[in-house]
Amino acid sequence: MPRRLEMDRWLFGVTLTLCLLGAVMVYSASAVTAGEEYGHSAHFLVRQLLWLGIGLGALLALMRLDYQRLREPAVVFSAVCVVFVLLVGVFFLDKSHATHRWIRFGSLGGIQPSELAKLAVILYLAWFLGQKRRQTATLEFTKEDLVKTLGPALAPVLLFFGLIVLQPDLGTSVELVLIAAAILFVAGLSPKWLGAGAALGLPGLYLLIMKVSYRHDRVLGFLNPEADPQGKGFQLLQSLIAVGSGGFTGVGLMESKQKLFYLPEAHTDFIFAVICEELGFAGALILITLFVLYAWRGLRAAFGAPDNFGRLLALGITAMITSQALINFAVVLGMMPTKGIPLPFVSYGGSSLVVMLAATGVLLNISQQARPQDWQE
Amino acid sequence: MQTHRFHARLVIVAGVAALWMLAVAGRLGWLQLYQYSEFLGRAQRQQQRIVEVTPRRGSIYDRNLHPLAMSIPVDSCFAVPGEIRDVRLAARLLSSVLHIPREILEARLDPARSFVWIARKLPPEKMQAIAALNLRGIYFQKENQRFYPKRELAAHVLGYVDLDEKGLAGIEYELDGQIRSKPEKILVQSDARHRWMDSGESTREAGASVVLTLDEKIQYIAERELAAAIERTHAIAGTVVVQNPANGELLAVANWPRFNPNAPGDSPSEAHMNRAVAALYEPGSTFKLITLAAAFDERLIRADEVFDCQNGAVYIAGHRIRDHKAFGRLTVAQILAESSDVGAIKIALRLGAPKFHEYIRAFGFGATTGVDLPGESKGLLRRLENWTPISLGSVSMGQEVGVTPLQLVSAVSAIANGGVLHKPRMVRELRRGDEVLAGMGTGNEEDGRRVIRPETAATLRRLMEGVVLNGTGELARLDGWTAGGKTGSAQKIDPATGRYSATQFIASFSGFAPLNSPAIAVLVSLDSPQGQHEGGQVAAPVFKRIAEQVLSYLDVPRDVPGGARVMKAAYRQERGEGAGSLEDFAAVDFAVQPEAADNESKKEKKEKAETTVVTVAVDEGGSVAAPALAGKTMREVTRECLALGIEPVLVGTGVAIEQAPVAGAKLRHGGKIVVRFGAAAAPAQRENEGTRGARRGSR
Repeated sequence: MPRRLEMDRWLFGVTLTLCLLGAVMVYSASAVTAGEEYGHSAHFLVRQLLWLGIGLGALLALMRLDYQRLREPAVVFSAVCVVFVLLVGVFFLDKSHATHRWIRFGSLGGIQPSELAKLAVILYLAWFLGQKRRQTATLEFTKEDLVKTLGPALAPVLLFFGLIVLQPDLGTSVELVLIAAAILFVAGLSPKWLGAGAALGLPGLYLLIMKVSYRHDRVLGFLNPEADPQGKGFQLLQSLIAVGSGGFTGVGLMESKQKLFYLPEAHTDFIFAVICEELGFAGALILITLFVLYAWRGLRAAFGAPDNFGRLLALGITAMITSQALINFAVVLGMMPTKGIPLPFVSYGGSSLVVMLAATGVLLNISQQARPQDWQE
Repeated sequence: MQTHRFHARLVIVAGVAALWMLAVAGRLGWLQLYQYSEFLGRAQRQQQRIVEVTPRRGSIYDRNLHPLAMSIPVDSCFAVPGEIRDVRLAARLLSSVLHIPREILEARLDPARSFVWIARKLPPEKMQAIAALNLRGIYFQKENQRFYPKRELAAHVLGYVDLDEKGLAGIEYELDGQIRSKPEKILVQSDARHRWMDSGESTREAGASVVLTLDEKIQYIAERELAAAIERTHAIAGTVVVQNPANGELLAVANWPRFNPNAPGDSPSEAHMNRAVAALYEPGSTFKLITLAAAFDERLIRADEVFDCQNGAVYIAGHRIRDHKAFGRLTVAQILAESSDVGAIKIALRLGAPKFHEYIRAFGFGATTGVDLPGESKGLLRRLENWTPISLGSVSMGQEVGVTPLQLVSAVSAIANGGVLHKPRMVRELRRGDEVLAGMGTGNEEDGRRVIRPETAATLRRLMEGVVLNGTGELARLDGWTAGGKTGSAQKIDPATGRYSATQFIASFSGFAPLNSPAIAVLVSLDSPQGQHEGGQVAAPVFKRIAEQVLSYLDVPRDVPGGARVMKAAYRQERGEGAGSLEDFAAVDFAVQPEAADNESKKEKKEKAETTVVTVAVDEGGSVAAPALAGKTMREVTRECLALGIEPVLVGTGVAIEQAPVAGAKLRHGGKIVVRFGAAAAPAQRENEGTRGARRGSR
């Protein structure tokens, strides 16, 4: 290392702010429901703080670990294999909400292997493409590239995609593909490949939505929430009412009415709606700004990373967190059909928080090693 | 170059993300800023249930803050049908407690509804029985129920409320806007599972309380005596109004038939009518007061002026009008005391229709009084241009004109207080807690409107006392206080024939007491008494009973020794004899205790400096109390003594200065009294305390 390593205070600060804001909002959104259903208003807060502690530990550990050491094939393939085992394993565990998403640890919550899958895919693609790109400049639209690069690159992605779709968790699997596409694109994938992928993927997505009644309902609810305000459109409509009734300054912290049983998943996937209601347009803009700052620092790390592996890894992590936030915003604001995507750092959810913080730890390490002069290139 | 390309693609990805961010921010602004009010409205609509909970009404008090109407909390039961697991079971259980048919309850518990009342205002034991069922989805809401602790007392004034505590009659209706608390529907916060977060009871402010001018004790006296009178006379309806003549405040308004405002539905709607303001009737002879007031005020007649009552018949506009008795020559005082129709008509003819009409309107007839009670009738007074030639005569004796008891008692109050007509007042003030929201005026002199001169009022009061002492209203004479009044016995118009009924009368008495500074004006009217039907016979005794109790309750100083059976014997004697030589007796006035005399009566006395006074007291038996003769002329003394059946022995010349036996001493009929005359140095001697007598003017 030529330079003395300095922590990216911006990135660290933004991440910590988001986590603490999240803890506050989780408490606000869940206190009444938790009090009613678990007899303790801080039920979710305590668990969130516990996971936050674990996540911060992971963050600090990975921040200190030179990311170059993740480049070892042993590390990459163990990660992929462990995730594969876990993804298969959930099918043999208890169902929750009629899905196989969780590996539970008692009442503390659990781990969603699909969260880890995102991390594994990013690591794998960064390693594989970083390696490849030392040999070839770009991924042209050729058969050779398909067989030698694209195929191996996409194999674990498609495998995980399939397993997650089967859980079923279409939202996370689509996100997985999006992250992979972003990494491939930046790695030099020809736009033609992207077009081909879309041409193949979209009809499949259409079938996955239209053949499954609840997804169909969600799309209908998204397209016209007013048609069935008590049914298909309920969640979105309640979300929009929460957001809209917040106004510029919001109704005040803890004052949300919508979180009281109107808004399903108020402390998880729809926590942004509670934030909008309680803190208003001003608070929501601050939250968005925090994610913009995160994206900026993440991309800055990607720009300045000393090697391709670092670049792609930083990009993948940034893309994962930012896209997840953007999808979550879009869902809450009625710009996209409802998906089970939590807001990174903010939503209640153990494994998601730990995975996001661990990923941020890696990103912080890359950021430390970035060379600012690369901006000038 | 490779790095450069990498960076270019990175910028593209960042650009896509940035665009997305901008879209999110734009959407956020659209929802939160542009559509804010719409979403806020939607949020409130779904989060708040408007539940029509009965508002807490302010209390109604009498003038001494005794509560007459109050609101007490009771439980009402409602259901959130969506929460009920087994509607049939719930309906069956509720039915067993409430005795509402199961089918009705089942229909009411339609799961599509989010809120439905099961039973409003439950008695505590039923509420507990339902609570003991421990049913899911069944809740209780505190509501307020109006309660009238004194039951029928002042029911017509107070009125009553409906199930939603909305005032339907009386003060409850008139001041509903003030008595009802402001938010008539309360917002209940509810969540999507219809759980109720805040019943909002504490945030509601009670309505204003009302303090009436009514005095519950006087009201009680009036109602008790009215009920007793109804029992005695078998009248179908009746009204008593007690008013403070000085400021128009109503102290009691009693009506029969009455009702219990706690359960207005249990009584026929006729019983809810506040006859004091709504019942229209022909006042009959009582209205002669107005006729005389107008004529006196215009200085067209004098109290001692004699009218020929033409043996009970007069022709007016071709119609022959018969008096109830064949009177000969009567003074104006006697016309009122005997209630001669012919006399009244002749006075009215002198007055003329336009002037008369003017005074009738000035006294407030033909227009609402503006009292704070609903349903007031403005009475019936034809416009002058619609008067027929016979109208002048009819109206002068109280026909062809419709009045309400309140109008009449207000007119009597105006005479009693020296000529100022006050708006009758029912409400003293509105208050919330100890804070007075609105005083309703204190009823100062300035609030009133002068309708007749003080002298006119004084004359009328004297004449009205004559009615009580020696006229048709003798049964109204009070033990212990002077009083004035006028009887009325108006034939009702038979709705079947459109003519005056021969058997149906409205018997009334309107009066005031005491004479010189009246504390109360009282009207008693009885609709269709059976048997005796004349005001003097059936209504006057009611006046007496009420006035005596009320004056005693109000601690009004007595101005006549209690229990003394005194009367103006001379006046009485002359009644049978024709009026020929007796003009001098016309102005009948009675002495009062000096300390009770107000300024006005002192002034009157001053005006009559040269007037001589004859005081006569007659005992029950054949003996006569010696008259007070001091200051009288020889001629007067002679006439006075002869009238009493005693023989005067006159000594000296001038005015009487000394007598033996002294005034008030007992004298046999045919006995002698020695009177010494001399220079009129001493002022007219005051009446003996133990007697009650009459001054009579001599000109």
